[in-house]
Amino acid sequence: MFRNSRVWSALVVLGVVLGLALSSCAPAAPPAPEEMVDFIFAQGADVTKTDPTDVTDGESIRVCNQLYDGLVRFEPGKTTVEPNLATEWTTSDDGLMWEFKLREDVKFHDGTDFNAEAVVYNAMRQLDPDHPEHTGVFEYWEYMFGGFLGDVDDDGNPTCVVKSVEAVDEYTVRFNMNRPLGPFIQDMAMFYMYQISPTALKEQGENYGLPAYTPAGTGPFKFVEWVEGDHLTLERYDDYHGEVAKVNRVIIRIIPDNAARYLALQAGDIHGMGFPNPDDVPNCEADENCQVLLRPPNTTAFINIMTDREPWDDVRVRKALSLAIDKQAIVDSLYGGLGVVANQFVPPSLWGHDPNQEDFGYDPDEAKRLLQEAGVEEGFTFDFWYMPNPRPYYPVPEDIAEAIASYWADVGLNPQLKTEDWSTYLDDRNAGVFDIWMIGWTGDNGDPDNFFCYFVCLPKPKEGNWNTEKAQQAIDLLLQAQALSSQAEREPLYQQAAGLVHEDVPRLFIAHNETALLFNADVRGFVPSPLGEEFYNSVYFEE
Amino acid sequence: MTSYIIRRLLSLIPTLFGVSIIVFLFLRMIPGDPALALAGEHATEENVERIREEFGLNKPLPEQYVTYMAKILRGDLGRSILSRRPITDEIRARFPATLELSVCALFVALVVGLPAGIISATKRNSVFDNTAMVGSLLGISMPIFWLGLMLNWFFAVRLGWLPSVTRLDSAIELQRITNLIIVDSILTGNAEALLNGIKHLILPAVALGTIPMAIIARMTRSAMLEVLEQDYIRTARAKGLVERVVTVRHALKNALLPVITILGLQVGVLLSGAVLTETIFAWPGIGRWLYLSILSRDYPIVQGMALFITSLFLIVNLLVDVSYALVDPRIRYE
Repeated sequence: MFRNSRVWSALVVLGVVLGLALSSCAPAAPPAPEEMVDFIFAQGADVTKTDPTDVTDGESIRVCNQLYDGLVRFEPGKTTVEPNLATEWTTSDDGLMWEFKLREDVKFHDGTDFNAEAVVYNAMRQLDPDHPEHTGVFEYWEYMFGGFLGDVDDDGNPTCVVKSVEAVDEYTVRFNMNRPLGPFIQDMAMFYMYQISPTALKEQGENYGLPAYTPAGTGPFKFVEWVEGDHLTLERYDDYHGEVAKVNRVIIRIIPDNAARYLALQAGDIHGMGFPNPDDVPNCEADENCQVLLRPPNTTAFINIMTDREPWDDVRVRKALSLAIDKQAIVDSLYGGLGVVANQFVPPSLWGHDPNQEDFGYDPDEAKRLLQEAGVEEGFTFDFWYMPNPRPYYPVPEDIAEAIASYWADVGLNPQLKTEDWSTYLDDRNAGVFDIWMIGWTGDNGDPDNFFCYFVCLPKPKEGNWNTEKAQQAIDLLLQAQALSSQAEREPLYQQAAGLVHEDVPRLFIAHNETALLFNADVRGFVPSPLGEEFYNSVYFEE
Repeated sequence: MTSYIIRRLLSLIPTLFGVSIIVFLFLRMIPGDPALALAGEHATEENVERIREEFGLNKPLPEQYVTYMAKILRGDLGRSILSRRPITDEIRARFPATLELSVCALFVALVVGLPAGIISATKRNSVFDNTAMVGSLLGISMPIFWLGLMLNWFFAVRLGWLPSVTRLDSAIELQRITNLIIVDSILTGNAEALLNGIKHLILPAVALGTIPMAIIARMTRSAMLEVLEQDYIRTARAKGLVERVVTVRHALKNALLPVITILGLQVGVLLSGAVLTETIFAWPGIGRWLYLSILSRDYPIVQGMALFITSLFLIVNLLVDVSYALVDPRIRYE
């Protein structure tokens, strides 16, 4: 094969000639860059599906936010709800009926009409397991509404709060409830209640939302293509009922590595990115070509304690653990200053947060005294579990765990740091294997119930079995708040429950952290949302 | 030769069967529940149970295995637990990216590594030899993650000569036929996409090709040194043949066997997914996908990919064995 160098030379020449020939017969060039304004945002993982009812990951939800609308939506940058496909809504006094008046000027991307029948079709698709297009798992519907049609609890009562959905007239739709649900209107703004074209659902069946299929919503952008693992392209929907997008296309690039994503931003290959490495945030701030936008805190990082096991069943011990930790130092050094010290479940950006609640503070001497009083011996050894991978509420879990362990060592305890892979960690947490472990929460719907009742309303091992007298009082308050629909009536109940949690210390609250998003300096109009509900139709580039 | 190839291809069946059992059992022996990984922190017991039921994870292991094998025999690798999409579709979408990158990385490795090894051997202990061998030692020892980031930072960010990530600029439209950018650009006559695709390939191919390049250079040098000591080389020189002919026609051909063996192993390794390179350059191949699937206990993907990668390894090995006979006439397969 090496004998005839002329063959190689001929091949090289042929290649060059072929290349030149191809260049000369190439199709017309695409539009010049100045005619096509793209906004390129990079995220760490690929989209799983473009069906908003059947996704749970932030990457897929980001795309769905551009493709679809709900009847209501979260105000940009806030957790309060405003009209969207519905112009107004009312609820009955007993909270068992919600009625929505719909816009009359909306069409889905496939050209079909949006109306009450479409809303009923979308809701029944999730609610009714016998619906022909009930082909997904619909995890969020089940999680937020308690189940599906026909599901009953041990007493034979329906578990799903939604009883039925009906069209009152062409542009009025009614949700009938089995029982009142305080956060219902917040839930209606979430991605899993976005409206999909019934025609597209019927045509595509169980394939709806897969890469080779075209989704159809009513959002500010239409689907163009999805090259798996690489990018998704969306284009402006000129007939959008709201603010028509300022850019022609949105491209969602998949760049898994945080450092590579930041390099791509610096190189100008993308315009924005999420989840930077903490070190890159100050680098971006110092770079005149880069800007940092912060999502208001919607996370709570805490340490769970198994409150019915010795010595953790003594409130003095739990309080001592909290007093021993310098949380402000952790926020300053390990969250890069992006956050605030937490002293309750609900973050300060949400209603239901009690601004008057004060943290125990950092007082190692008092911690030592309380431990001594409770009879905990010097050098008491226990396992302290932390997760192996970053979570939105714990950006560097190992470093934070080491810091906390060293604070506890300072007051005479001997914590042993332990970890295991994430799915096993969740498994063992659920099984009650851990005594003390790091965990946290990212809010779903901007409602305090979502930060509170999930952890407290049913004492279970994964939540530390908190079942004291104060726990029972808190549960009563939370269930009472859940059944009300007035925010004014609900808020004080959550604040009272927060006080009970504070007194009994079933959790050690660490931080509510802000999430940084990095952009090129000329990007304007991007409104960071505490819930990650960001709409790219307002984005533009400064001239 | 034909009967030998058929025999080897038939031997794939018991090997793949064995691999399927080992992977199936090992995956279930390690702790972690895929249903819980999918359902996440928010999951209720009902959520998790529904997912277990959907994917048959609540059935006895023998029943799960029989169901799995019955699907395999029908050519169905199953569906991903996380994305719920057919695994064959996922492989079809991602493997071309890995194939394209691997071929280019091997091209880089061969074009640099082979001549470097030959010249080092013929100019033993020269400045070139010492430089090439120190360079190859660095190439083997350098963490690919660091090298990739440095290449990216220097050529994409500082100099702005090459793109930093992915396979093609988003402004460029290309009709996908094979999902190999270079091939599709040529097939559709899209010169802009061809040039852009090549630019995107350079940095990841160099990063990924560095280790094979260094291995090939060192292996070629040592094999060449051994052959150049042989009597028949002295005879060839004594006959008055020019040094180039002695080196290329007489020495290199005989030194190639171990190099081909190493090359075969490297091809297998590259094709099975270069996790780090794909991660740094956001290359949408199978490497990182498989890594994430292992972490999330996506059993069907790991099982399907294990079979796919085993098949690739065995086929590449077979090609290597066949190529021995082509390079060395003394080797005959009956």
